[in-house]
Amino acid sequence: MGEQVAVVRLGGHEWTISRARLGGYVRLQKERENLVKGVEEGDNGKIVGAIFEFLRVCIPELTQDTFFNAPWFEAVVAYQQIDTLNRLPFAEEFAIIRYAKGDGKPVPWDNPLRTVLIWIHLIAKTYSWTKEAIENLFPEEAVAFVQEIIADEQTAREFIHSLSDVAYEYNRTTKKSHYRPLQRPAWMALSKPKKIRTLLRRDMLPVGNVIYPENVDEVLLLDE
Amino acid sequence: MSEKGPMCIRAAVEVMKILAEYAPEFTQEEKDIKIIRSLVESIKDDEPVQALRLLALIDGKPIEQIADEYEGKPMEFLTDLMDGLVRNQFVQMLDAAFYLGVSKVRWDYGRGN
Repeated sequence: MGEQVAVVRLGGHEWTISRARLGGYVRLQKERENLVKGVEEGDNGKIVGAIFEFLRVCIPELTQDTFFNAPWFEAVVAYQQIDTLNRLPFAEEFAIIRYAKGDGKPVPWDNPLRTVLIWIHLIAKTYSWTKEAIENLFPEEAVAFVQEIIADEQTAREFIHSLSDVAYEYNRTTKKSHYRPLQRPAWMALSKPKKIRTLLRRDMLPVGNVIYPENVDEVLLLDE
Repeated sequence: MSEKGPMCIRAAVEVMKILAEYAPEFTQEEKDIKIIRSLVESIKDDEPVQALRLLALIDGKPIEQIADEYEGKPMEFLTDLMDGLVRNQFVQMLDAAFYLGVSKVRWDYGRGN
């Protein structure tokens, strides 16, 4: 959650950029979606527009003139730098992201601001923080808060459900009622998958100094 | 941009789309000269006008002007196209196209360097 920065160079200008907070992060996601849409539709204007707006989220002073006169690789590298800088750290640690599921269809009351407003609404109604304070959270903090809020709401709903008649199904054969708990969302019900331990025979290992890829926790050696 | 400098992003996206179309053929090659030759040959066999469009986009000129300039000069055309592709970091361009989602194909073996 530390303060990370990237130095972005574009068209002879240089900017030092910090990680986006929640407000900026959501706008970056929106522009990334626009880029994907542009690619799907084969619309160059939309693709380039999305890249420009993506950069503008982190570099508000970037002008069209600078952007369109810069060499293409500077624009793509700037996009890549900002994209990498703003990757959600520990994303796989959040169950709500790990088991994220949705049909991707917009709700009938959808609007362009809704993506940002859902976050603000959820956090503000629980903690009564201001819009500015919420937008200033780091995205991973916001995800953690939202996860806790939804988990709290679910347990409250489960309690209310347990007090209701509909929670107790009557079995005519045994003439008894059985409690049917409220179904939990997948991310609350499923536990974290176990890490797969790789077993390698020593004689199958390459000879010499082996440089293992990053994030490989352990490689167990099994002697013949 | 252009006028013998690198392209701007607007032209580059269109070039990426043209390259992406032929990427499955030329990404099999290991050396840069073979990559470009393979690209030019596959364009020539399929739709020669795409080669004109490539150079027009790279040089920032209208396609008619390119057609007039290189009429009866195939070797000059090929040389300038290759020069334009190299000047615009053609190898990195396919990586960029893949990163942006414009191309579904990336380098198989060599990276042209």
